[in-house]
Amino acid sequence: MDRTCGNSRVDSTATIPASPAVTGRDLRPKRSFDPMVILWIALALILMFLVINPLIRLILDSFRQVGGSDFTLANYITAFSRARHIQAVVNTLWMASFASLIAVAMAVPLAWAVSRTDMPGRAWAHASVIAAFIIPTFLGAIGWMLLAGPNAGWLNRIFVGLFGTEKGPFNVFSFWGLCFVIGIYAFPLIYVFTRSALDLISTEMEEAAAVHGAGTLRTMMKVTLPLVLPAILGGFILVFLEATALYGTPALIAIPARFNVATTQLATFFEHPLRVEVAAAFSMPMIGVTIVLLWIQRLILSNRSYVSVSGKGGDRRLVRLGAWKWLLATYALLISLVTVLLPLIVLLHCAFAKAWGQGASISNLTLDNFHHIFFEQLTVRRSMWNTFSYAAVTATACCTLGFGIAYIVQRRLLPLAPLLSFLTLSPVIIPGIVLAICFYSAYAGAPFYLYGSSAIVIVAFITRFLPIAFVSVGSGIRSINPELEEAVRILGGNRLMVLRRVVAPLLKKTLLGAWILTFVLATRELSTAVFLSGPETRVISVLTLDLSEQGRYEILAAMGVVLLVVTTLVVLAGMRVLGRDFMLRRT
Amino acid sequence: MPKLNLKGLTKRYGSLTVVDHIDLSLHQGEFVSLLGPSGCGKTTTLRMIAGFIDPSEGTIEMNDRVMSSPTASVPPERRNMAMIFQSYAIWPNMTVFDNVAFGLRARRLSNEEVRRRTTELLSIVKLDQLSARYPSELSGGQQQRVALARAIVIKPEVLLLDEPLSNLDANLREEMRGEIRRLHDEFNMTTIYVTHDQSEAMAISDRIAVMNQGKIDQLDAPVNIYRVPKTRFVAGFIGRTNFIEGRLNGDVVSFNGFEIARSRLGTSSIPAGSSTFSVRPQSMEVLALRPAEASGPGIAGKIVARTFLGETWDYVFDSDSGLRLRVVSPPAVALEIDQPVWLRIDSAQIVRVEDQPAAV
Repeated sequence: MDRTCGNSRVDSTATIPASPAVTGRDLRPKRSFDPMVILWIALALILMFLVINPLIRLILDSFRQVGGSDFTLANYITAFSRARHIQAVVNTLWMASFASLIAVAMAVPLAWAVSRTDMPGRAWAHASVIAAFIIPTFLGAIGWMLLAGPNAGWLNRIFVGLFGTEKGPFNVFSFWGLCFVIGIYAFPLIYVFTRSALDLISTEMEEAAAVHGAGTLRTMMKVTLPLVLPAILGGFILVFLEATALYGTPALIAIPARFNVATTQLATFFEHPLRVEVAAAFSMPMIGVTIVLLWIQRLILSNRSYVSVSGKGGDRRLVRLGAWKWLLATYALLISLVTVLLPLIVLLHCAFAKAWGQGASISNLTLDNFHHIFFEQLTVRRSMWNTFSYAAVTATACCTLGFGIAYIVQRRLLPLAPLLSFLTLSPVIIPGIVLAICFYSAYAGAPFYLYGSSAIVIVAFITRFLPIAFVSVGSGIRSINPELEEAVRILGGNRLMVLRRVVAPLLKKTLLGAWILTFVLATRELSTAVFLSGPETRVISVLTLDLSEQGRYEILAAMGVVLLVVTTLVVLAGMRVLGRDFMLRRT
Repeated sequence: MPKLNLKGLTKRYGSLTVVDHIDLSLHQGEFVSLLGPSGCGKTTTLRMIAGFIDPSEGTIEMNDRVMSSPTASVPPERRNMAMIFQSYAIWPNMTVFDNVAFGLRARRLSNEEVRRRTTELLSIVKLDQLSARYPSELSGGQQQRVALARAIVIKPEVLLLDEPLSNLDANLREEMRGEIRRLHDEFNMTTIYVTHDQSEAMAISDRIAVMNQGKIDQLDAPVNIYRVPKTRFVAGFIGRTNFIEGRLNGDVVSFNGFEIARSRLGTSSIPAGSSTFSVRPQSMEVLALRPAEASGPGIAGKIVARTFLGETWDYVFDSDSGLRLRVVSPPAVALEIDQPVWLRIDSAQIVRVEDQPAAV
């Protein structure tokens, strides 16, 4: 054994003076009083306030006589005995189905093309999906109203100009228009699911099919597609749920088109005369459907037998499409035109136009709209300030709470940690607009009287986005080996030192990513805000509906451009630090 | 005075007993390995010593002071121990220097003292050139050295190692094994080393505690563990062996096809009636000719299978009486399958093993 350390030998008689000598005081008895109990109670109270109480109040209200306090089933009868109420639910189911199918038709070929083939412009196609993801759905809807409004819509005017017909063929204010607009802004989700499944399938599986004589098409249909089908179905279900819960786009499109879906029907109960109790009853099936579908989705995705994948296996050979690649590229171009380029162009034009209907000429150019929203129209300025400040507070609170709970749950610092985790995740079963009713029931009136305050909006936002922050911070914590933290302890550092010196530095990026994601989602949140924001607490999304109703599209577009610019800057900053796809990561 | 003393240490999770009444005491500077298959409770024992897990029963004492008991425990950071983890647990956000200096800084030594000791130890583990690097820029072996330096620099009362070599390739493993033992000898640290690799435990330890289902089956010097395994489990886990049945009749133990005087066997305590015995493949010889009677029993039989492993021949021998034994021979002894041969057993290497671990 090598003993020749020479002069580098440490003087082993020297002791370390300040080493913590063990004294009787260090022997800590357990169970006398654990300060963690206080933390547990605090967290339980917060979750009680954010999750349990609102949900219980919703259920109770659904059985309460309108304006009274007696127990009754009348609300359910009122909610589900009218033919037009039932029609609204039926409309929702059809709309969500078609919108999801449209999203699948866009997302799956695109994901396959980008992940697997030699289609030209793959990077650009991927970037346009990210862009479509960044555009808030209600702005996309406004864009399409400007593009495909029955008379003045740009596409119709171009069509008339080209073909000399009396009228253009497009009408966004229709059932199909609604499905289309919802579908094209939901497809990124399915794309993400499909793409990440495709990226995991070893090309060797496809090569094996090819070796055994299958052509490109056959390989795709018989091998690749079945392997990613669960991911597609999982994405489909999420998009379906999102479409049923969506309020903004239906409010912009379905109401002028004179039909109702479930969410717009819900909103009518909030008009005069206010019938929160009926709204509560009407929203119960929505929660039920969400629970069932999320359960099915879990079942599909947790059936791991299809994941015959072993990480990224070796060289990735791209499928050669030959001439077909141009067809696919055209399809990709069409998708990015429809989802991003066209709506953005008309929105930008509208924001800088004196009157959006007068076309793109120098004489129609103006900056007045921006001057107007920043310096004259105080409601708009106020709502922009509200939007960004609420989103910042929400994101900060969600990340803090999400981190605290995720850390406690994963390191099992407290008893009943799974219960904390369950409560934190449970808001996912509540559609945004129903969450708004929950919070209205729980906190708008006595004894809290929070209606019209910023607090009620922010608290509802926090509840809505806590699961997202919790999951993404949680996966970050999971990637920190607990041994890194134990090493601190055994070498003499306490729990605080563990957090300060190891967990915080290693989790910085995860937290930033979660913050940005929550911030961006909160800036565009409409359905949760719709019944909760008063005159002083309007946010951009809610104001969009008002401005659209008033036909003030130039102001609206200018406001939308501000929202888009801020969002884009935040996301770009995030991409610089965290990598291009941090928003799209499947959690 | 034992440095570290585990008394009746037990850990239960619900109805599952992971560690079952372990008694173990180490004197200052001793190197003891906890050896056993996964799930035998060795890591749980180590983590109880470190203070990450509290025992359900029993105590851990260090320098005659209670560290852990079911009712009260000293937290890990106040035990003045150090631990080397399976994953090394080098903090990726700190340089090599900051990693090694961490324990000293946590003890609030002066900056100058921290610098002096850290530099000293970095040069001992030959990392002084890399002190400004981040862990991601280091090889596996270098990371292991950082973990070692980081643990040793605080001069811990007890050094704990949790399978520290399992992530290294074979060559590096041997080198680091030597390095760990060298540092142990140099600093005279009381050390507990957890591993499932018997050759690693053999090479490095003063004593080995072979663990099975939460209990210590045998605690002894490596050579005794190998030569005189106490239980069937220990005999089978450490190296390869053959188990044969024997029955004590008066002063003679009769096996299937041969008999040996009780006094000539490797173990003296043999109960009346039938027992299990362990015979290492290395303690037998296959011969083409009948051996002289004096050198042990000669058993007639034939070779039924053979594998050439380069350094040895691996034979499967069937005796005429129906006993099947695995025998290792040097490469020069080449025998054909079905060739009639004679087997000679060194009777001093036949040891009786308990079928069940001894009740504590």
